[in-house]
Amino acid sequence: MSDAPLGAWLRRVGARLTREPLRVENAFAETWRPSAPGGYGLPVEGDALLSQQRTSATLENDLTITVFSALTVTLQLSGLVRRPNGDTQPIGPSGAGFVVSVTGDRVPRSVTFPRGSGVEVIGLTVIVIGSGGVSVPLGAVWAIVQQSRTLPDGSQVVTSTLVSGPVSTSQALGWPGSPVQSSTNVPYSRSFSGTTPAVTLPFTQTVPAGVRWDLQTFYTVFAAGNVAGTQVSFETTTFPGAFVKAFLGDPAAVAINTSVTYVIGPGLPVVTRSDGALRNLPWPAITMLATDVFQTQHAGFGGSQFSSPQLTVLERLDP
Amino acid sequence: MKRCRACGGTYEPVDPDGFRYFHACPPLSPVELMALVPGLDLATAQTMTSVERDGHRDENLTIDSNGDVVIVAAGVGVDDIPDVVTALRSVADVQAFVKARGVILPVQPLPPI
Repeated sequence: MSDAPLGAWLRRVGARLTREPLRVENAFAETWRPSAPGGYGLPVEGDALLSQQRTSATLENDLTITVFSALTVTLQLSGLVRRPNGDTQPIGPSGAGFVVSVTGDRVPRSVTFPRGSGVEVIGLTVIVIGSGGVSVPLGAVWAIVQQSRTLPDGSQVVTSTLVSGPVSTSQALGWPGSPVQSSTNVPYSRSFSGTTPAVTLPFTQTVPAGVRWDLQTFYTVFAAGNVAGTQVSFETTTFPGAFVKAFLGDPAAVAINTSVTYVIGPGLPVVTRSDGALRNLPWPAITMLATDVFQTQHAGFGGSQFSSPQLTVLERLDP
Repeated sequence: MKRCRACGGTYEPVDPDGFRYFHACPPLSPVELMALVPGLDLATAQTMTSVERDGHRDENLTIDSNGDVVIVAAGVGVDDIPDVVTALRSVADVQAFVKARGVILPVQPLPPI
């Protein structure tokens, strides 16, 4: 686009032409850059795709919301429709929007709502309205709102994506305004307890379906029964027993009745305190995909046990 | 709290922050392999890191041929065991809980004051 028609348009709307990023003071406070990829006037954020087209009023289009979540939550899809006669009203039964409940299994599920005949959607909002009292980290619940069309055989065909992004109890997803994002670009940190294995057995953790992990720390208590000189190392395996293995060696022997936190990344080799030890594993971040396995390897373990194991990971939804 | 009948591992099916936990049994340990295979030496057993145990349970989710979400392998099942937070009111409770779980509690030195 040349500057001439752009300048005329800016003068009409009361703005001034500038080569600097133009800050638009609106509800979304995006920085608009004339030279940004994607064209003039489109907000760009990271690797986001752009979806700012205006919805069209047709007789056959529906709204489909697809949700995948690591937590059991209830979402509300609300918005406004403008009817051909100009009347505007909230969508959904009694204007209360549409409510969707999902379990925390990270499996994508879709629900399709009729938009009605000849109406135009002029604003959509998706927000978490129920989470069982737990906080929802941004990235753990993902919503995608699309226009779709129902074919004569009852199947649905997606015609465009309006918005795709994370939602929480405090942060909504809005159209127009929110960029279309990929869930693998929004990590959230989790610490959780793994399975305490029986005595002498290795610790094993499989990456669940629908996520990818960047492993950060592994904590455990080496219970009584350990044999002096025991060395523990770790391995991550893609397709167990086959292809790729990454070994995290720990040359130091573990003592009896100690808690140890293994931290992956740069740092001091060993930090020992009276209440436990921190050991650094100078290994780059390992991205583990669903079904990959993290497990311990040990020799001379005797009758000891990996008690109270805990992992800290950066998790990304990846359905 | 659950205990797996196949591997004896104990775990909470839902973490306190609301995330579901999916238990999967560890493979057979070198000690278990040597007990099963007469003559197997330790060095060889330590290279066999992916041998599944009988009744192996894997609660991770997959989609079956009908399109339903199911766990990968039910195995020989799990048992409910007393929850440590709600059930332990006395030293006797703790001892009974430890015995039931089969867990060896560590004896931690007290930190300096």
